[in-house]
Amino acid sequence: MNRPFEPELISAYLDGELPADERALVEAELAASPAARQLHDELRALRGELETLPRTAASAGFADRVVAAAVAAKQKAANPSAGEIQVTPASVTSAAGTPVPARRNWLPGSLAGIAALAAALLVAIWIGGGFNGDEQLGGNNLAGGNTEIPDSGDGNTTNNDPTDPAPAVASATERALAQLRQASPQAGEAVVLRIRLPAGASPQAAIDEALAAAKLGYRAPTDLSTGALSVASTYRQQVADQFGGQQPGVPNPALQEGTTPAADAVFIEAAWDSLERAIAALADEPDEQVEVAPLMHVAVAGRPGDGVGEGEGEAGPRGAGENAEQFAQRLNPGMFRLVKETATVEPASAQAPAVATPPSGERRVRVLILVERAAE
Amino acid sequence: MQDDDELIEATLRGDSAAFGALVRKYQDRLITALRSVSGSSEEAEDIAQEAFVQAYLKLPAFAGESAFYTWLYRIAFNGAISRRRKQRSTGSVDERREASGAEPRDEGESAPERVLRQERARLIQQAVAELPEEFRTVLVLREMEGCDYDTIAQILELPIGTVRSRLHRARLQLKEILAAVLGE
Repeated sequence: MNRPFEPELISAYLDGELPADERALVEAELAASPAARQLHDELRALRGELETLPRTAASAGFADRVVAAAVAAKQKAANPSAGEIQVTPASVTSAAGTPVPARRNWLPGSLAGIAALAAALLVAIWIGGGFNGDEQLGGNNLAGGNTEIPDSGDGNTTNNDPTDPAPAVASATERALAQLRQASPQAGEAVVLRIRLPAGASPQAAIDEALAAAKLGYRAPTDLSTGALSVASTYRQQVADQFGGQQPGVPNPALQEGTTPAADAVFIEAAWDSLERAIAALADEPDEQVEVAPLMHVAVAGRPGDGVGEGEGEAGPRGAGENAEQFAQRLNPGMFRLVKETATVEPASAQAPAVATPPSGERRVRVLILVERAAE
Repeated sequence: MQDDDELIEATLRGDSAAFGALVRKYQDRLITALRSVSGSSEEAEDIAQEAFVQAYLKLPAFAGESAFYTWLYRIAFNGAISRRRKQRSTGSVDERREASGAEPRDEGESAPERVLRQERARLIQQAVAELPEEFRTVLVLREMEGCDYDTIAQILELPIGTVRSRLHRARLQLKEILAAVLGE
């Protein structure tokens, strides 16, 4: 006699935690039972809500305070007769001017509501393919497959010193910067970059270090004035469209199968020089391969006075944006999926734009960085 | 970027910078998980700090039978539970959250969609906080930490079957709470 169906199997099914025989059991139940299908859809929608909630990040100087407290506690344990050690609570904000931000709050729960707004503001104009090649990043679609690494002309990032003991590092950095320059957004555009970090790397830590090196502080994820969520919405929609689209509440197995979740996601609005410094810092790791590939350019409507996209007549008066704070904004990586390298998809448009001229160092650019970890 | 074993070994040799690298590697992940358990970012940071300090002191005894983060999270989770028991009489989660100032700021934008989204996020966050502890922890580990069942079982020292069961019940309960507060 068959046992009654256990609804908790549906939960585990959604989590991908069932063996083949139980998966088949659930699929049979879903096919036969409207109630099971309803529960499945409701639980999946619930997961979607939770996925869009943002992460909380440590406040500036947290690690330094922790190390100080740990060393002090160890000293006290070794010498109990010593006086009471004062340990700064973790939640006390560190000195002003530290580039890493303070608190992060929760992001709004669902992006669905802003899709219409995003659509009104943005038009995705091209989708690239991501990484080109098995291991190393070669040319990219934006550059028409050009693998030549241009001279950066930037003394800070070019290593021409024959005595340098680590030429491979310079090469990796140069390659990453070359890809970045080829992907540079024109005025009125944002670019979505896919960055592959080594398998053992902690994506958040690596990005945090890179942004700190570029002196970029974080904005709160709840700050909707940055435009990040609009770019995010367009990206999500474009990726879903490559797999037949995504209707609310309707599963898209092809999308799940053909993509992989991002390990980290950060939106940056900064001077081009700062962005280059961040990418150089990210790639500047001995013995580790960091790869950068442009995925998509997104047209961005300028905000009044934001100084981005100036010269196109849509950005409003100059001045306000030039003095505005550069920033990064960490987004919940659960919102983003990256097309697997093996997936066969049709780009939204076969027409690639001309190779971009790298912008001047002080020009503001907007970049959405999606991070993936290389396979073990 | 070194792996955990190298950083642990260096820490045990007295290299506090290596411990700092371990902290930076896991701080956001740990604080995110703790925030949903503790109810505020500030408290989550304090618990995380205590956990890192305890981990530093106990590191010589860390046998490496589980991943470092799993071991760290267990220390932090026990700290959070202990703290929560002490605070139970001092006020509700909502009161602490309000006192923390961790709510999304209303910067005066008039767009109704933005207000609705912020309110929705607040309600979801509140609903998660209202779940019983044993449900909330498995839900946070799964949905916000992305842990698989085996890892959750290791962290909470529960059988996998219990993890599966609690997770399902947590979702059902969260669904009910949200249906009540969102009217959906």
